[in-house]
Formats: sequence, C-alpha cells, structure tokens
Amino acid sequence: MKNEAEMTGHNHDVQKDAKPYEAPKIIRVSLRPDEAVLGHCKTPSVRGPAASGCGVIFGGCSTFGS
Amino acid sequence: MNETTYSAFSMAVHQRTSGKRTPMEVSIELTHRCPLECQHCYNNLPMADKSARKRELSLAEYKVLLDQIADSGCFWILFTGGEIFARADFLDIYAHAKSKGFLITLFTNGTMVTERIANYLADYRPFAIEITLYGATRETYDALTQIPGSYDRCMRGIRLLLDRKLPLKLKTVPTTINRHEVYEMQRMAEQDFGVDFKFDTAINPRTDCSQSPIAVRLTPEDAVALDLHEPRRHSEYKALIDRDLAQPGNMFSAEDVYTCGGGVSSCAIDPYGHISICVLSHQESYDWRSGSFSAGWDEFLGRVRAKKRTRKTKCDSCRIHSLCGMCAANGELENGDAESPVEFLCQVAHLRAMALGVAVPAHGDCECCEGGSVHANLVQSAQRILNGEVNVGTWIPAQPSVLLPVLQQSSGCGSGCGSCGVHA
Repeated sequence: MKNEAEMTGHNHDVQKDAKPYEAPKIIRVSLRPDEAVLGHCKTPSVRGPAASGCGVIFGGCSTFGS
Repeated sequence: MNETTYSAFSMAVHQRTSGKRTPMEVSIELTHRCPLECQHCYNNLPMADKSARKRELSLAEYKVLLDQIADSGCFWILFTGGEIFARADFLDIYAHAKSKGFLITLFTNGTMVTERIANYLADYRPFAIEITLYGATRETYDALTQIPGSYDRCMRGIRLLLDRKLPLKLKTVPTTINRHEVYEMQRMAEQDFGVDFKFDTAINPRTDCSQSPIAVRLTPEDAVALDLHEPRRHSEYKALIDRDLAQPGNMFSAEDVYTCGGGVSSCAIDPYGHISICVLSHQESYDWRSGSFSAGWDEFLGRVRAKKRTRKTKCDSCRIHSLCGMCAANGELENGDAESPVEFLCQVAHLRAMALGVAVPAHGDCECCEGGSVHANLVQSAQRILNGEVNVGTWIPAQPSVLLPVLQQSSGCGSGCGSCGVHA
C-alpha cells in the first residue's frame, strides 16, 4: 500500500528544507509624493537641490519621482 | 493592519531591483502638441498639427503598450507631453493605466484642466500632479507662453485641482523672460496655494535640433545668482560639493556613455511609440510598433545602455559633478554627441563652485579652469555674485528679444545628431 507521500508525490526531505509557510500580510502605504526617494524633474540632467533625490542612494539619477 | 511610510516602501522596492535592469519608471510623452507656445520648450508642437496627431499612438495601442509595461514589472508611470490634456482621450488612457495598478504622475501646464477632468482625477487619484508656472503675473506668464489668457486658465486649473485636494506641486523653468518673478512664484506656491515649489535653470535645445530655446536661457551668471540667492539651496549645494571633494577621486567616473538610471531602471516613450533612454535622448530609439516593449527594453535599450565611451574628456577627472548638469542626453542635444562636454553646463558648474568658495581641482584641458579662455570671466562673475552686485531681488522684466533662428525646419540639423529624425 502506498503511503501519503507516494500518493501525493510530495517528498518529505524537500518539505523539511522548505521555509515555513507565512500567510500573506497586507501592509497599508500612504502615498505621499513628498516622500519620494528618487528626485523629480522634467529633464533628467538635474543635479543639486533641484533634484530632491539626487545622489542620495543611487548615484544621482533623477527621474520623475518614485 | 500594518502600516509603513511611503519612503520606506519606495526604498524597499528600489532596493529589491537594485543591480538588475528593470523598467521601474516609464515616462510616456502622450503628445508633443500643446496649446501654449513656450519659448523655452524642448518639444512642443502646435495643437493643430494634424501630421503629429496622426502619427501618435492610438488609445487601442496605448492599452496594449500599458499592458506590456505592467507585465515588465514597472511600478511608476509618468504621463507628460506636450500637454497631456491636448489628447481628447487622455482620461481613457489614464483609466487603463490606473486599472493596471501603476503609481501615476502627471506633468501638465494646467490650462486645459476642466471640472470634469478634476472630478475624474479626484475619483481616481494620481500619485502626483506637477504644474509648471511660467510667471507670477499675467504679463510675464503670457509673454513666455505667447498665448494671451493662458495665465488665467492656468490659475483656474490650479484652483480646480486644489479644491479637490489633489496632490499638486508647482515648478518653473527660469528664463530671461520670467527670471525676475521666480521667487514670487515660489511665494505664490507656498503661501497662496500651500504647495511645494521647485525650479531648475536647465534649458536644452529642442529635440528636433532647433536652438530656439537657447535664446531665453539664463546666462551662467544669472543662473548661479538665482540658484544661490536662496540660503537653503546655497547650503545644499555646498554640502553636495563638500561630499564630492571628500572622496578620493571622481565618484561618477564610469566607462559607460550613459551613467544615469536611464536604461537601467527607467526609460521614455515618445508619442509615436519610440522607446529611448530618456525624454531628451533620441539618438537611438526602438520602434515599439515594430515589436514589443520587452524587446525594446531587454534587447535594444540593454545594448544602448551598455555602450562604452570612445574617448577621454575633461569630465572624466572633474570633481564637481554634483554641481553640473552634464549628461549624455545633454551632449546629444547641445553638441550632437553624447560624449562631448556641454560648455554652458561646464561654465555654470565652475561658477557655482567659485561662488561657493570651492577651489576646483585641475582636470585636464578645461576652458573654465585657471589658464582657460573663460576662466577670468567666470572669476569676475563669481565676484559680482559674492559682492551682491547681481541682485536677484532687483531684476526687472526683460525687453523683448530676437529669437535665434530655427537651424533647420525640415531637413535636419546637419550635425548628424540623430535627434531630429533626419539622420536615421
């Protein structure tokens, strides 16, 4: 007679190594453009204070704000 | 339910894709047509340009394109122009983008915002809206836009959006026409409207190769005086340059032609479906109509972004990059060559450094450095700024100026730029 693992095709060794299941969580994010991480600009050439996110984390690329 | 701040969320999203090529931010120019005729604009076309309208992507095409962009993992979309509301079907395009879950930013001049549009946006809110102001007074605003009544229409649009508590910011591009009202525009934005304000003195030639915007570009002296007039900007520039100079070498030095996020985390799509590094860079673009967004991003832009520099320039060992607006796209527009330094930007950067009291380390054959042909002029300009002789507060309205001619109306610029579409 086949055991449960054989019947379902599950491999117990693989299951042992798998990360424990975590139920998805819902996290609420308040959309605040003034907290943008990368800067805003029409032209991507801006350096300095005109580009709010310039040089902060990703080496000075300013896009439209994200 | 757990909560997190937007900055923490955004940082986490960007960090998750850091080091990978993922089109997280896509700028979509919906049209180049615009009801205004701003003298400094780099891409506007007349509203009645039927040829341009005919070439623009249709609503059905935008739906397919936005589906493909969403499938690629994009999170942030910018709709810009031209004027986005010049398209009668804008809200249909916007609605489809909203249905895909993008965070959407809108760039507009505000003059075509109606109650219907404002109500729709209030019901289906964008992430951000930015309106460009062209003057603090009717006279100045209408002089730059060259359209009588445009100031009043803009103010009405701002009110319609603010009445609905939409996430609005105001900004301007200082020119010779409106430079005397920049700080009054800031006061209007912050005190009268209660919104953030920013300005950027960068003005480029047009993407069709016309040099006409340069006629209203501020001189390096005026641009720097305006920049440093505000104590906050002064101290932020100083902090940036101090940080750069504390590094052992040029922290921005790279082998690649493109050193920004273009082609790595962002790209742009023009009204005709051409995908490129950014809204300014058009020397190389991919025709979406002939393929797909993923083919344009994965293969074409991947190759463009990986392009290596072919020669050394004075920028390579320059240490004041954080004061400079130079990038490959500016080189393309100004010189027809992505690798060629833009002299105007170089002068602005050196003058900023001088006015901040920063000694610029030698970096090769530079016209702005000691011994260079414009060095003495820059020193005099810096002295005038430091002595308060360039007093932004006393600037008066500009006299009407003669515009530089459009280099080529229909046959390209003649420089092999690739931007005007004639050299392709």
